[in-house]
Amino acid sequence: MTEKQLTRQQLAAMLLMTDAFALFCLRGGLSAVTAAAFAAGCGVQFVLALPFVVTVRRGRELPRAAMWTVLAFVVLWGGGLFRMLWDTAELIFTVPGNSGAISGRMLTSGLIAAVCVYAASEGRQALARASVIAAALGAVCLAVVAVSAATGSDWHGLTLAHSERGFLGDFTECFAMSGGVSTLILLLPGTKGEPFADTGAYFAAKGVISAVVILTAALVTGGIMPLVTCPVITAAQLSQPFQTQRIDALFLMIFAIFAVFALAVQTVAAAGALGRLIPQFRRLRSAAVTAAMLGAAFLPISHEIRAVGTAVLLLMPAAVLVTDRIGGRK
Amino acid sequence: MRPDELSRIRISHDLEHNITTIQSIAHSSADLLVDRFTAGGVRCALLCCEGMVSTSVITELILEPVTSLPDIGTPGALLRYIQDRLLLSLDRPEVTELDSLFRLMNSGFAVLLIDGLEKAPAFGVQGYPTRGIQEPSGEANIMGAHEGFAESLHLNMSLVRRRLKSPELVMEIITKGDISRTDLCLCYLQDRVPPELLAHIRRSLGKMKLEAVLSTGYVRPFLEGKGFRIFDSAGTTERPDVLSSKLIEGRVAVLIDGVPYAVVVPRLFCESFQTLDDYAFKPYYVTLIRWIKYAAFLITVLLPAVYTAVVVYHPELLNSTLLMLLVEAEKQAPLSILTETAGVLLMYEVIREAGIRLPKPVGGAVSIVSGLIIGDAAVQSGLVSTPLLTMTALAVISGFVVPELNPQVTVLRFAFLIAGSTLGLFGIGLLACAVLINICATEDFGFPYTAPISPFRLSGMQDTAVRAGFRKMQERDFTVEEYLEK
Repeated sequence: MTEKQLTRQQLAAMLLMTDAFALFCLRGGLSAVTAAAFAAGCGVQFVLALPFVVTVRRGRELPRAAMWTVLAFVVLWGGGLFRMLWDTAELIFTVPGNSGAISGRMLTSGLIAAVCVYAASEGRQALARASVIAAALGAVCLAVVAVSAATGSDWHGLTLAHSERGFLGDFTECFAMSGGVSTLILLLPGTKGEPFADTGAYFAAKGVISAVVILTAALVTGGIMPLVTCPVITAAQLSQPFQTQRIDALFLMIFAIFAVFALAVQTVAAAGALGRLIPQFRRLRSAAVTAAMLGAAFLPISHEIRAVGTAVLLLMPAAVLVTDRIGGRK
Repeated sequence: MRPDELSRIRISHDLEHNITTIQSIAHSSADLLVDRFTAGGVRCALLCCEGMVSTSVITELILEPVTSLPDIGTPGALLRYIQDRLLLSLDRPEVTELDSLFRLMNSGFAVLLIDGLEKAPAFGVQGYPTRGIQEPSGEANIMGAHEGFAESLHLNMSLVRRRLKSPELVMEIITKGDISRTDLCLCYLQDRVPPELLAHIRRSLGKMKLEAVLSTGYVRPFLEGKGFRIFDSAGTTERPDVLSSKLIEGRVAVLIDGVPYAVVVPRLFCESFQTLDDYAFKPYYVTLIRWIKYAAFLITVLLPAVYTAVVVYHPELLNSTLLMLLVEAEKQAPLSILTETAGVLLMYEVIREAGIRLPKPVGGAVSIVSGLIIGDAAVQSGLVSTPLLTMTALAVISGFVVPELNPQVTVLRFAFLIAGSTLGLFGIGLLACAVLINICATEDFGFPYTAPISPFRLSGMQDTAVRAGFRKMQERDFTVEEYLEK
């Protein structure tokens, strides 16, 4: 049976939820420079992705070796997301955090992983449809946080916010946090419509969301940035739209939902790629991929290596095009 | 004996042998009537099932004309004369084997066995008592028709035909159930229905190997997707006007003999919030009511869970006045909030079930006992806090807005309550993810249950997010094929 195609909205929602979750877990200082670096990073990624868009438009499939590389990158990125979840779970107040027998973040991560496995087991189409609804819900909540931050904060905070990485470091960080491009490479060929427009819409939305989230976080946590571990999470906890009640528990729900979808999207994309590479491997593909991702979570991969990996991944289709051209001349 | 075995037994030319065989297969059942007589000089027997036929019609339209025939000569000539000249009934199939003979006889046909012939004419003389057309009990309506389906398949078919007089309306009858031999009627508009949907449904019904078809629940699993799904992707309706509107949208319906409901395929989630009255009132009012229904659905599923989670784990979400009010009330209650909430919800389900199953006169007493005595006494004695009872009652009442989702709402309410009371809003968020994925995985023959919300169709919002006016909607010429995911 042929797999149904994704729509542009579904593709964008699946990828943006992954990127948003990575932003939630972003560590270190954030500033207006970071926002600019991330926006620029998204633009450069789009340019680097153009050769891949061309290969998709031509209906050219990546060679098996390239597919294996992309699959490995998705698994590593999934592991990275698991690691981010593990590291961030201790900063967020969850009820399992109060239970004694099992460590709070172990329970939090375990429950999220369990729901992610279930989500992945329902297949790509179900996840794509659900992603659109969850992303819309998340966008509304993020808008509420952003508006309440903008109205309740002192704009002076933006000037106080400081990123120790500098523009180039933030630009590299943007690449390191963009493992979602590997998922884009796997999902774009199965998407309806014009690949150029689909990719452009995704990177434009990613740039805008990254800039808005980082600016909001910088605005709210500007004065206390050096003391903060995860600025975006702290910003959500600090910015309250109402005078007499707090809403950070709602952000907790959004965090959990985005975590589930971010992990499930990598699992589904990797399981699909594995199915294409080894058609005989039919059962328990999602479980195998999840296990591989959990294993990858323990690998000590630096941000610089991740950033280089993203760039290499984006340039790989260009190599395929060049090889095609040389092969055509011969 | 199974239908396939029966279909292998042919009618023989020996009348007495046929009668003996039929009586033997029917185990000399008391309601099998055999009336022997001579017509046109040939020995005949009229077979019918007592209670299924109209005796006056048989006497006046079959027995009297047939028995008063002059001597015709051969059995073949007699059959030709009856079929061509007498026209005893509009519906006159001929049977050659016993499976058809029993099926027709048990559906209210009279079968005329003629000595010397290996086939027998049957006459539709149904006369069994049926319930007449009444107002639907489960789909109340203010401005629309007040007719609901009844148990008779042919009556139900006529109710649909009266509303859709187009020659494109096709009604196919198929028989299912090895023992019940129930007639199912597949209804669709030939020019509207997606051909692949019709082919899928025919294939699915072909795979149905049940002994009996006694309600819609027997057919629905064959018309829905596989796997565990919380919501039904095949809907039901007891209103012929609603069914007609669904057929116009290109859906397929299955009417079942003996069941006053039609199964409609495919069904979408948003349809649970639409009623026929929506198209009788002004669009702005209907849009408001529709959003109230969406909110009511969320309230009925989530309110008890969110209340418990907020009071126990996230009191910072409440403002100080409300928080003090709740703390004061819960301080008096001797049980934990989870026990209290689960207990109240469980009691409601018990009372509801009792109200449905009990005879109507006693059902009224149940409401008095539950409402006045149990409810009032529980609060007075301090067993249950007033805010919690208010929340639970609000949740339950909100559920009445979407009655057809009641089974799902009931289970989800308990599931979310457990998630909320053990893991707080984090648990509710995780369970919401799982439920959302399950809903989005629900599809029927390629039609996603969540359409037109996801996959998003802007044109579909005309009758989902709002209710556009008819002038605008008539430009759209909607059929459900728009939502088919390829």
